Order: sequence, then structure tokens, then C-alpha cells
Amino acid sequence: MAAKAAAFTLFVILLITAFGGTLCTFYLYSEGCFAGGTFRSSRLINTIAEDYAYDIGNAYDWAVTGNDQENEDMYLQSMRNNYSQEYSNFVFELKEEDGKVLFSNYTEQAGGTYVSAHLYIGQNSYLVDGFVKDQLTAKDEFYINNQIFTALSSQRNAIIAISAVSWLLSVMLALVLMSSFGYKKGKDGIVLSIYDRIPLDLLAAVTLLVSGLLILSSGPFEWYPRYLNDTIGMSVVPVLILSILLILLICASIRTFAVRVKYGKWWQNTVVYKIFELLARLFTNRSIIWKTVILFFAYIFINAVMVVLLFSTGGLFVLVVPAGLLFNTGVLAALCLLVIQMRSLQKAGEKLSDGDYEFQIDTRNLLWDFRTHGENLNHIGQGMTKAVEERMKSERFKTELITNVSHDIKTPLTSIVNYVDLLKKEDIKDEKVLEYIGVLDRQSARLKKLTEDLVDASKAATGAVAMDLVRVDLAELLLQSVGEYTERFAESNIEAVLGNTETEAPVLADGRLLWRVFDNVLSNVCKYSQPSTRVYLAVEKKDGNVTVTIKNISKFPLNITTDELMERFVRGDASRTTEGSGLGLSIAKSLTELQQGSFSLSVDGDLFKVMLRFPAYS
Amino acid sequence: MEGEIMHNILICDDEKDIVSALKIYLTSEGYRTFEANNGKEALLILDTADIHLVLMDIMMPELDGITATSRLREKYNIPVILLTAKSEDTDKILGLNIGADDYITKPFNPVELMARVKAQLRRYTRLGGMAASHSTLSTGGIELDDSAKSVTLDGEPVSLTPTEYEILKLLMENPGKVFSSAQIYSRVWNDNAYKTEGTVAVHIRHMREKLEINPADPRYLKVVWGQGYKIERGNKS
Repeated sequence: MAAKAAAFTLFVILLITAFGGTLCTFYLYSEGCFAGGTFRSSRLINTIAEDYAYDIGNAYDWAVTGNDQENEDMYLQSMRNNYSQEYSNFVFELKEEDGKVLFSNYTEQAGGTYVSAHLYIGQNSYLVDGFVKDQLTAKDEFYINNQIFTALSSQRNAIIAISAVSWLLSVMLALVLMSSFGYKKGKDGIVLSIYDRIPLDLLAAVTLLVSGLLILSSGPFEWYPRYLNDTIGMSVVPVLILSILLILLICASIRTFAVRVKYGKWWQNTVVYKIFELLARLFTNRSIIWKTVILFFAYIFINAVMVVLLFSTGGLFVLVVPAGLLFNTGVLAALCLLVIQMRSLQKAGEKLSDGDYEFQIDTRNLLWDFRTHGENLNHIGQGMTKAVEERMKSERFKTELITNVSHDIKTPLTSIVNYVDLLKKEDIKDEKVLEYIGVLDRQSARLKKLTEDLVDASKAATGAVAMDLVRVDLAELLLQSVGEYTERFAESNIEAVLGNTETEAPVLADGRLLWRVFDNVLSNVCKYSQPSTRVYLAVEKKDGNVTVTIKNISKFPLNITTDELMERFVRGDASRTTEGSGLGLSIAKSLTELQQGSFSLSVDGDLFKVMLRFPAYS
Repeated sequence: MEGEIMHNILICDDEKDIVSALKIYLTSEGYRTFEANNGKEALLILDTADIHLVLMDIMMPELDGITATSRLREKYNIPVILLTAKSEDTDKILGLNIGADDYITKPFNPVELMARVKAQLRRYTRLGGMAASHSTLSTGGIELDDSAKSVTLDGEPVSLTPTEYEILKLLMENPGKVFSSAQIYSRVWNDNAYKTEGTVAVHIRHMREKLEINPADPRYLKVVWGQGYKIERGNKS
């Protein structure tokens, strides 16, 4: 501790010598010392002489104005004494503007450095002409300053050397001291003194104020010695003390800043930071309503301040109006930004509600509550995507399973079909055996149809069907389908009645899949129509849609709902004695929907109606 | 059976029961059969015996039917009919692209299989046997001789009604082009296509019965659903 105190003291002293030396060097340089100048040739001698002349003028003016004759004489007498050659090295004449001599201390013609000065004192103006004598005999300021000047001038190189060395040493010492500042013996880490705990900006303001006061207060003191008796007391000592105080203040500031930097986060111990921290704490952990209210009042407050400034200080008009415009434009921009962010959240919400769960908002550019909200939306989307993917996976797995199983069934089925066929060709007379073979034949054919339909139904339901969507004319397709079914209609003893197939009714679909739909529906019609009835088939173009209607009369009473009819494995006859897998309508519906069409059934008594609707293609 | 030549047919399937059933059908029609249980055996037999047609299953151990077909195509141009349990179009297209001449999906109808075998053999043995005249149109196995007003399918005469003949001629003159029912009606009947009531469709259906082995899965006279009808361009199989 003692060593540190000593080092600090040494640092202060070094700074004083460094500053002092530098000041001296500047003084000598500006007086031309280094160019071989003397006191006689310096600016200083003129400065002193002009001040001297002013003193003379003031004294005379004070003596002659506002005094009665008696007092005037007394003052003039005292002036003559003060400026006699015994006390003054300046020989001069005080004249009026026109050259009339008012006062003179001439006793003999003397040579020296000539000085002339015009004086303006109150209403009067004077002229002073004089010489600073070659031989400085009287002990006045010329004498003192000559002594100091000569002394400093003779040591000028030494002074430069001393100040340079002092600077060097003080900088080195400052570095050493700065690394040791803040540490205390027996204590770990940085120890802050009370001085170090004062908020930095407050301290800086006080320090600047004090330094300013110190510099200002040095104003009244003379910067060069005036008289022999106050050489030390009145000029040099106060200036020196003030300088030392200033240097101490600078040292303390350096020290405390070093300690604060080492302590870390020095900016946190400032009034400004504390205010911002307080505002931030007021703001965070508040509900969005509170934030809005606080921001609103802040906005009102700032605008109010500007209005007050505008009306109270006319001069600031140029400054306040652009500032106000800038501020309000900024607020508008911020509001627009918030609305844009709100809009992007809305869009994300719309996408989610439309079923686009893959969509993710870029939350990097969103602010505060918007960001949290955006992240929540993203999480919903991710969750839904995962759920949908799981479902698709399980559906695909199901389709794959059905495909594989039916594929495996087909190989043994091939053998069954082939050998039943071979059996039929054998020459069998037994009626019973022939009947049994017939059953095997029918049932193996049904099994074949069932396995094929099962694969198709499962594929259509999961959408695992390759589609080639082109322009398809439904009228043409209906004609083609009826053509294909002519014989079967005749077999079932039903008559087809076509309607409205002359005009084209184009839609966007896959013709092959659409034929599957018609095939299934018409095969249904053949199977379940009451013989000797008509089936009505019509195409209609209306309101941007193309509708195909197929109506027939059911052979069996339809006591099940249309929804049930479209379920897989449900058939119109409960006994299930007729051919078919019960998958036909289900496949037709799935395939229609895959092609963006709608497939609906309606039952009115025995009237069975199928309606297919597709958006018209243009 | 054509002529006195006895045709050798290689049956390749890993399912023994199917092989024996096919054997029964083919021998009863007068063919000599060879058996293989996988693609490797099939290729070995092809190198030792004089085979005229191959029935090839797709899913087999050791060497599958697709690979075996593409290998045998490096040496032989005999007809190959694929037997497949897969009914997807992509599998059919793949099979035809690697060099198979026809395919039939399991479980198949024996009658249809026999018809396809016969058709393929006829076309294979008859290849280059007929001089094409300028008035002859041909697509695949269908040949239409306009001067004789006769149509043959794989060399066998087919009897068509005059209307059916006109429709076929129209389609064969523009292979690959799709004609709608109305267009066919106006060109063949020389009349406006008013109230056609599916007349054209019925005719086409009858023609398919005569010209195709499986009318529901035609090779030549194709239905373009919702657009019309066409004759397949080219002479692929």
C-alpha cells in the first residue's frame, strides 16, 4: 500500500514536472528563445510595456477625472514618485492625441527599446511613447522578467530534456499504476472505492465542471510576475496550486476509469444506463396491452414536448419542425412494419386453415410477440405435417400389403382356373361332378375378380393411381360406354335411352380411369336392373359443370342408405348370391374424386340414380 | 397348327402346377414343350434346343423373367410372351420395352393364352413371306388389301361387314390418329352424326371381337376413352 501511495505521489510529481516543463518549453519557444532571441527581442517585453503603459494611463486618468484640484495634485505627486527612475526602468511621455505632453518621467535622454501605445480609457484617449532602458537598474517587472527569462533561457535544453523524461516516466508509471489500480492487499478481485461507485457520467460531468471552474478561476491571476513583492504570492503560487489540483483530478479520473474497466461492464454504472434499464424493466414482462399503453403515452409525451418547444422557443423552429416530422414518419414506418408482420402471420394462418401444413414462417425478422406467435404457428404446422405423414404412411402400407397379398393369391388362383378348365374338358358323364365343376368355375372367376377389385379399391382410396389428365368429352365417353354395353344390356333385357350426347361436354380427366367408373356403374346397372325396364343416360352442361346422370329401376327393394351402398363390400342384395365383389361403387367414387369430380347416389323408391359431376373444361 | 412343322415351346415358371397345366394345353394343341423353373434354366435350354416361342413368368428365383428376356434377346428373335401377376401398366410397358412380344396377366384364361401363342407363332413363321402391294395397309398383324377388299389377321382371313371394313380402312389410313364417333360416322356413313346412339361404338366393339384376342385389352384397335378410336401406329409386336 505504501509503495503504491509513493508511486502515485511520484506519478503526480512527474506529471507536474512534465506539464511544467512543457509549459516552459512552449513559453521559451513562443518568445523565440530557441532561435537565439533575448529578452529584448521577445514579444514579452512588448506585452509588459503595453500593460505598463495602461497602468500609467489608468493612474493618470483616475487622478484627473472626478477629483478636485487638491486631490489631483496629490495623486499626480504620488504618480511621479512611483514612476521615478529609481523604481521604474521605463522612460516615457503620456500625451494627448494631438501631441500635448500630459505627464512625463523624463529626467535625461535615455536609449533603449522603444515602445509606443494608444490607450482608450473611458471617454479619453492617450498616447504613450517610451523606452525600456538598456540598463535595468530599478527592481520592477522588466527586471524580474528579465531575470526569469535569462535563467530559463540558459537552461532551455535541460528543460526540454526534463519534460521529455518526465513524460516518458509518467506514462510508464501510469501503465504500471493502471494495472495495479483496484487491487487491495488480502482481497481477491477488484475492490471499488466509494469514488469508483459514483455513476460514471455523473462523475464525468462533475469533473468537467470542477476543471472548468479551476481554469476559469485562474483567470484573474497574472501569468507573469508583476512586482517583486508579489512574485511568488500573487501569480506563480495560485497558478501552480490550480495546476496541481487539475493534475490530481486528471490522475483520479484515469485511476477510476482504469478500475471500472477492469471491474467490467463500466457502462452499466452510469445514470443513462440505469434509466434505460428501468425503462426496459418497465417494458418487459408486461402484457401486450401494457406495452401498447406505455408506447402510446411515450409517443404523446414526445409530441407534447416538441409542441411546447415549438411555441416556447421561436429560435428553435428550424430544428423542432424537421425533428417532429422525422419522428412521426419513423413512428408511421414502425406501425407499417408491425402491420406487415401481422399480415405475414395472417397469411400463415390462412395457409394452415387451407391445409398447407408444410408452410413455415420466417420468424427471424419478426418482433417480440409476433415472433412467439409465428413460432407457435410453425409448431402447429410441424405437428400437423407429422400427423398427416404418419397417416399417409399407414395408408401406403395398407395398399402395399393388399397389393402383395393379392399378388400372392393370383399364382395359386391361376392353377385353380387352369385345372378347372382342364376338368371341364375331361369326358365326364356324372351330372353331380359336372355341377360341382360348374360351382368351382364360377367361384374361381369371382375370386379372380375380387382380388383385382381389392387392389384397385385400395389404390383408388389412397390415390396411388397414375393419372394422365387430358381433355375428355363426356358425351363421347358415354356413347362409347353404351356401345361397349350393348350386348350386356340386351342380355339383361334392359333398354338404354341416351340423352343430350350430340354436343361436346369436355372435362379434364383421365379417360381410362373414367371408363373404369362408367364400367363399374353400368355393370351395376346390368346386375341390379329390373328386366324389361329402361336405363336413362344423359349428359348436361350447366353452370360451368358437366353432369352425367344414369338412372335405372332396381330389381331389389333398396332398404339401405346411399352412403352404405358406396361402402366397400356392401351390395344391393343382402343374400350376396349375385356375382360381384361389392367394391364397384366404392372404386367408382374414389376414382371420380381423384379426378376432382363428385360422385353421388340417390334412391327414390326403386329408382336408382348415379350422378357424376365434373368442372367443365374450357 | 400350320403346316407339318412341330413347334417347340419353352415354358418357364417356378410354379410347377402352372407349368404342367400349360404343358397339357400346349401338347393337346400339338406343340412340343420344354420346361424350365427359372431364367437360368430357360437360357440353357434355349442354347441346346430349337425353341420357337417362350412363355416366361416374371417373378422367379435365380434369374427373373425380365432379365432373362433381355438376355435371350441378345441372341434370338423368337417370340416371348410374359406371364405376370402384376397388372400395373408400368410393368407391361417395361416388359414390352425389354423385348417381349406380348404379355398376359395371371390368373389368365387358357383359351386366351392359346390364342396369343398361335398368333405369335403365325407371325413369327410367316415373317417376310408376303409381298406387300401398294394397295395393302398393315398394322401389326392386321393386313388390309384394298384391291381385294380383304382383311387378314396374322395371316388368317377375317370376315368384316362392309361398314366395319370402311371403319377399319379409315383408321388404318391414318394410324395413330384419333377419330371421334361423330367423325367416323360422317366419314363412313357420309351423313351428319345426328342421333348416332352409340352406333359407331357398337361397330367398333364387334370389330374388336373379330380382330383382338382379348377385346377388353386390345392390341391394335384402341379405344381412347372420351375422345374416340384409333389404330396403333407402327409395327411393334
